Amino acid sequence: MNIAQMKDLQKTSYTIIAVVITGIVLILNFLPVYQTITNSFKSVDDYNGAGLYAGRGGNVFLPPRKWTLSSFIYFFNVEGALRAYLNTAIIAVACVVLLELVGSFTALILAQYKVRFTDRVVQFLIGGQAIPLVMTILTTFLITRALHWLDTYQGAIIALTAQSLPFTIYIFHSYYLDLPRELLDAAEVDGASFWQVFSKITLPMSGSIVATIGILVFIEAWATYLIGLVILRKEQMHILSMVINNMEQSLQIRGPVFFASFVLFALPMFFVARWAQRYISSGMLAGAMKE
Amino acid sequence: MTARERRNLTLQIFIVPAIILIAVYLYYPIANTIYLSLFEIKNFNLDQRVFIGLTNYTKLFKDPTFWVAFRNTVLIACATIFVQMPIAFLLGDFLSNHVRKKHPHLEAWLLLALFFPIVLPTPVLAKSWRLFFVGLQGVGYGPFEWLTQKFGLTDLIINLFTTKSVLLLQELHTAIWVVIAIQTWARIGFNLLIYRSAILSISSEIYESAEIDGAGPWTRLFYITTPLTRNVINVTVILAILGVFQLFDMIWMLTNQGQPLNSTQVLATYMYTRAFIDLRTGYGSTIAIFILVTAVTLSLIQRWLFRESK
Repeated sequence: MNIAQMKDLQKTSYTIIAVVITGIVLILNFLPVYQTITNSFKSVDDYNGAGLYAGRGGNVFLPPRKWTLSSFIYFFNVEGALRAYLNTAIIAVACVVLLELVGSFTALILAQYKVRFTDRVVQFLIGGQAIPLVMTILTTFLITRALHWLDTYQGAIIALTAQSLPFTIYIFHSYYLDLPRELLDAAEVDGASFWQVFSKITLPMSGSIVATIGILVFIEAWATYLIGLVILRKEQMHILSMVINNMEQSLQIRGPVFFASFVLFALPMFFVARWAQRYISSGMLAGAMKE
Repeated sequence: MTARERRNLTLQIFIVPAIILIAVYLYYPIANTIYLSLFEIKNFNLDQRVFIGLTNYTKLFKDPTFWVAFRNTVLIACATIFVQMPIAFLLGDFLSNHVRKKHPHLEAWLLLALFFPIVLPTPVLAKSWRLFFVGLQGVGYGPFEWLTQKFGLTDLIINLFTTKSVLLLQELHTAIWVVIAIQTWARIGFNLLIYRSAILSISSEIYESAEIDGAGPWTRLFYITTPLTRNVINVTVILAILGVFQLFDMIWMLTNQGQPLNSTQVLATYMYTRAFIDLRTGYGSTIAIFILVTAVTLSLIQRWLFRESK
C-alpha cells in the first residue's frame, strides 16, 4: 500500500469514527433536553394516562397530545417553590458581586503593590483551589453553626464565596500582573488614591475578566447543592437544587410539574450558554495552565 | 523605608479579608478534620467527643461499603480518563482541524450542541436521566422502559445484563454502570472546550506541511496534536482525578442517595451519608481525610510520571 492509499484509508476511517461519535454524543445531549421540554408542556392526565387519556397508557416519551402551560403555573403554587427561586437568585448574585469585588482588589494589591511576603501570600491564596469541597464541608458546617449562621443567606454566601475565591484571585491576578506600571504611576502622580485607581482605571479595564468570573461563578452558584444541603436546612431557606431533589419523594408532585421545574431551573443558563462557551474556554484553559 | 513601600504596606490591610476567608474555610478544615477523625462524635455533639485514636481508620479499612465506594470512584476515574477524555479529544480535533476549515458556521453550532450540557445545572441532568431510566411514581414506567417495549428489546436487555427487569438503574449489579456512563457523558463538553482551544492554538503551518508529506488524519492526531497539547492533557487528567473524588451532586441525585443498597455510593456520597445522615462526625472525617490523601497522592503521581517522560 502506498502513502496516498494509506492517507485515503485514514481519511475514511477517521471521518466515519468521528461522525459516529459526534452523532452518539448529540443524541445523548438531545435525550434529556427533549424529554424535559416535551414533558413540561403535557397535562398531568396526558403524562399519567389518566382521566381523558385513561386506558391509553402514560405518555412518557412522545410529544404532548395537547400542549399546555399548566405545569409551569402549578410549579409556582407548589409550597416554597417561588421562595426557593428567590433564595437561589439572592445567593448566586451575592456570590458573584462579592467575588468580583474582593477578588479584584485583592488581586490588584497582590500584583501591583507588592511587599516582601507577597509571593508567599499569592501561593497560599491560590493553593486553596486544590482543597476539595467534600473535605471542607464538615468543618464548614461546624463553623457556620458556631457563627449561628445556619439557615441564613450569609452562611451560604460566605461559604460559597470562600470556595471560589482562590480561582477568582488567580484569574484577576494573572491579568493585573500584565498591567503597565506606567499607567498606575501616572495616576498616582496626578494624586489618585488606591481606590480611585481601582475603581476608575483597573476595574473598567478588566471587563472581560469580570465577565468570565461572573459567568463561571453564576453557573456554579446557581446549581450549588451540597453547601445548601448542609447549611440551609429550614424549608423556607431551601434552594432550587434541593427543592428539585425533594420533589421526587413528594407524592403530590405530578410528572409534568417536575419537568417544568427543570425548565425553570435551567432557564437562566439558556441565556448565558452562548457567552459561556467563550469564557469557559478562556477561563478554564487559563485556570488549567497555571500548574 | 520609602514612601511607596510604606503605602504598599498599608494597602496590605485590604488583602486580610481574603486571607481570613481562605484560611478559615479552606485550610483550617484540613487540620480540623484530621483532629475530628481521632474521635467518636455522635450527633455533632463536640462536647461529648471520645478520643479513640486511630480506631476510625482501622474500622474504615474493614468497612465493606467503603470499599464499594472506593471501587466505584476508581471505576468512574478510569472511565473519565480512558473513555471521556479520548472522546472529547477526538471531537476537539475533528471540530477544530476538519469541520472548522470547511464549514466554520457549522462548527460553531456543532460545538454549542456538543458542549451545552455542562452549562445546565447538574441536578437537572441527574434527575432528568433518573426519570428517563426509572420513571415517576404513579405512571409506573419511564421512557427507557417504554422504548424497550416499543422496539421489543426487553428480553434482549434482560438476557444481556441478566437482570430481573429493564430498570437498569435499580438493579443491584447494573446500576453503577448506568451511573458511570452518565457521568462519563456529562463532562465530555468541558474537556471538549479545553482541548478545542488548545488545538486551535497550534500553528496551522505544522499541519499543512505534514499533510504535504502525506500524513493522514490519524497520523496527525497521534504525532502532532497529541504531543503538542501534552501539557493541557496532563492538566485535564489532574483536574479529572481531583474532580472524581469530589463527585457528589450527580451521584446523589441520580441514584437517590446511593441506592440500591449502597451499591452506587462513591467516596463523597459515602462521607456525606456517614457524617450527615448517620451523624457520625468522626467516621465521616476519616473518609474525608482518605479522599484528600488519595486525591493529592494520585495527582502527585500523575505529575511525577509526566515529568519523567518529558
